[in-house]
Amino acid sequence: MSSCEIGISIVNISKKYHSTIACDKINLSVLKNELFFILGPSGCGKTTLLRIIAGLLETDCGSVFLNNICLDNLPPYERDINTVFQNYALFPHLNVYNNVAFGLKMRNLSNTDIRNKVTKILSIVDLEGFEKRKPYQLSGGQQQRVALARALVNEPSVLLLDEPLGALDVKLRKQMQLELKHLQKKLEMTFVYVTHDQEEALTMADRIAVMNAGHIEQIGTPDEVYNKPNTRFVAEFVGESNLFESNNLRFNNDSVTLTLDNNLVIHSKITRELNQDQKLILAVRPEKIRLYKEPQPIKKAYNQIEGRIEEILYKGIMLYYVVKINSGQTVKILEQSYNQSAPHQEGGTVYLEWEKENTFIIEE
Amino acid sequence: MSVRVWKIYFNIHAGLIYSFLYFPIIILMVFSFNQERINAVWTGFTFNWYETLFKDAELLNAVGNSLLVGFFSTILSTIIGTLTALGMVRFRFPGKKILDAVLHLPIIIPDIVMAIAMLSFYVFINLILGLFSIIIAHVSFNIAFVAVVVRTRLAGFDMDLEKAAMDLGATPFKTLRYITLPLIMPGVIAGALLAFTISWDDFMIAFFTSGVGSTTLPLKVYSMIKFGVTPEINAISTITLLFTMTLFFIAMRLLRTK
Amino acid sequence: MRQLSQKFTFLFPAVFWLMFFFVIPLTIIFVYSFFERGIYGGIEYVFSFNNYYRVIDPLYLKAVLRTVYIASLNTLICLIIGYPLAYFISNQSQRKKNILLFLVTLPFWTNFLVRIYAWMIILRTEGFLNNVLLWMNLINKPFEILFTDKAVLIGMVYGYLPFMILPLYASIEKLDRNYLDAARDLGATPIKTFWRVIIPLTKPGIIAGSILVFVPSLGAFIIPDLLGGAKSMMIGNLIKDQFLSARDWPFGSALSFIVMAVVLILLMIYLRFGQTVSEKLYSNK
Repeated sequence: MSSCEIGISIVNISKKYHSTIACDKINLSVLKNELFFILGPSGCGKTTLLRIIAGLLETDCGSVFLNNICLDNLPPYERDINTVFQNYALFPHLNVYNNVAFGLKMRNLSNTDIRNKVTKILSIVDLEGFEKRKPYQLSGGQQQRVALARALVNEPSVLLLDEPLGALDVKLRKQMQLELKHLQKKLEMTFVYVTHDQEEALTMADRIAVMNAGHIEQIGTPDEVYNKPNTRFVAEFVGESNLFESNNLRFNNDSVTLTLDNNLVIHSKITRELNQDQKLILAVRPEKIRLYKEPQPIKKAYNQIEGRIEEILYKGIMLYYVVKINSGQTVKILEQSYNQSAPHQEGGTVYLEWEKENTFIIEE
Repeated sequence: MSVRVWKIYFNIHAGLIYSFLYFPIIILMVFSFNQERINAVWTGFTFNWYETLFKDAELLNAVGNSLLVGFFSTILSTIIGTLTALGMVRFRFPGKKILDAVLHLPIIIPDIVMAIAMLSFYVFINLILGLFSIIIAHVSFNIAFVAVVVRTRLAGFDMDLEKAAMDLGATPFKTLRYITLPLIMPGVIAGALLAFTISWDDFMIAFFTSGVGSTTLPLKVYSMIKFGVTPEINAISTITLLFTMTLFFIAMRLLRTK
Repeated sequence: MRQLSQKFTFLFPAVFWLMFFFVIPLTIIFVYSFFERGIYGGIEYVFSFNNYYRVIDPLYLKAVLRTVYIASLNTLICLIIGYPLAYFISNQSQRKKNILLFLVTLPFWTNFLVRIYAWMIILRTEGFLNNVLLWMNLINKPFEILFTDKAVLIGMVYGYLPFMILPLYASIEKLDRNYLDAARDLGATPIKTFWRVIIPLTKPGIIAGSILVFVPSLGAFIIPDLLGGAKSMMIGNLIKDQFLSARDWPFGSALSFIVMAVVLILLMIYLRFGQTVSEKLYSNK
């Protein structure tokens, strides 16, 4: 489990490439022994941030601290940090053993020490007997393990992983996600893991920082990021969302009421401090909405609106409905398919109901 | 050492090497305009040495010979080299690896070996040495250069275009004439220009295979050098350097056209 | 059948030409190398290995050893000064790379004889270098460098450096920068990264460049002829003498064939990894 001690802290980091801003005044702290994710679309600056932590890139301004020691003037080879690179970057001229031993040799360890450590780590990643193979003689999954072993064998304070599973096929990726998560807990090491795959982040992370266009949108546990997105970007990038926008917004004691066209009213609980000058958007996840053929009795804790089904898409374990509500906008709904046939027909009138608590508020 | 120190080092290193590569050429060119005849001391500007060149009948004759040799060996080697490049890219056949090696061998073996082999061959078949014997030898190594350049060009050539042409009813010959050749033409011309510069510059092979009255320009320059360093040599050298540099520049431009 | 006639059209001219005007001439000198010189300079058709034994004769061995020595030294110098330049070029922007590479290749395509002659202007006793040094008061009387081994070496490096830089550049350019990052990340200092990662990964370029410099150095004629003195005899001069003055063609042929054999062996080493010449040349840079 992660403790409350801070492992890495990033203070006010900025980085520009020519005219594009890759990192814009980023601040964040990673706790010791935490599996911390940086999640964002390609080009959002997440890899840049990772390379800055590793020392492979120089910042324009800002500092990186590891265990409260400033790393700014340390070159990468003097930092107690190792990286698993996106395409592994296994040295093609060295075999598995020598790839894994590389970092230890750089630190001038004795040959016996090196042998013991390499053997141990290879058994941890399940690659005993592969010592003599060259990287090109390994499958993608095996190469991934070598890359992992090569970084882990140095016992760094922090392990950085740059889309480590990106090159693997879906099935292997899912299996490796779990293995990596278990390995991290077992080794009690701080991992900073970069990915664009929101599902991977939600499955594995202790905490996630969602990054977009060079800045951090939100930091939180998977549950917080998924169920209480703070920004439109997070709502739309992590999972799907139905957004409701209107100028007719009213604040009550502990809730917000939004009135759409045709007097459709949506309520939401206030769970955090809001800046009332900002435009607010209410949103709900598609799977939180239930569909009914008949109007339901009005309950205080629920939102209910009427609509007409425009389209039904079959998605295996789920059914996906596109419903046009009376305000004119369409709403996406995911419902588990309990029965062989769909309970609703295209063109049919339906009543949408969800808990007010599941409505979340986005600040723009 | 910090990154900055390394950067400075690399810049200085590169600067020194480029100076090393171009310094002699620049000195040569500058001194071709120098009034002083013996010493390498600048005494004033003159076109004198260029003027004397144009009065030197032997030299002009050598230039004429070089142009003739260059012209004919270029035409022959361009045709053969282009056909070879097309053939090597298109076909598989037994012995392809061997042909491939033999094709590139004239580029890699020292030219003196090639020169004495050609000389021995001509003497063996009782061929009278002259421009003809030089041309034949030049074609032998220029085939390789043309083939290399054209093949580089063909590497970016979509073979489906030929299939499309034949599908539309073009005969193999028409496909070659209207599709393949126009597309690889910049490569062919570049190959030809490079072949010409090699032939124009060749000293070694001409040295062994030329006969009476077939002195080429490099041979003439060589015999002038053997008599001593003079500003006239600087002048003719400057002209020939500028000439081949221009040809090479055009060839590189052509190779980059899409 | 149709394909066969096509192959014939495309490849026959080259096969024919190279057969008659390349392979057969080489075969002729190969055969000559086993005969003996006639009394009046002709060829005596008696089979013997004498010409090959004569190479060990101290009279000639010196020139052979000197050639190998100078060619090796030249290769080493080209490698040491060429590598940083190739590395420098490969780290520039695409536009700059093109210009810098063009500037490296340009001298190669201009007249070799003339470029070596340029060094005579610079190095001779009353030449540019001495004049400048005298004028700067760095020396008080001109020093002799033209017609020495030093001058030959300068000419060699000057003439063959591009052959080293181009293959080096090609393999450094191909080097994935991620490997360098990985090495740094794993604790390798820049110097260790250089020896343990960059050098091993650019070995093909180092081998290719060394062969491409060593081979023409072995057969060099113009450079020792113009820049070297009477004592700077190399195999190239020796071969020329056998053909043009001593009229001992069989011995000249034997010398040439020794050079050829070395070239072919080096070529095989280069191709050891089972690729053909074309695959090396045309596989996407």
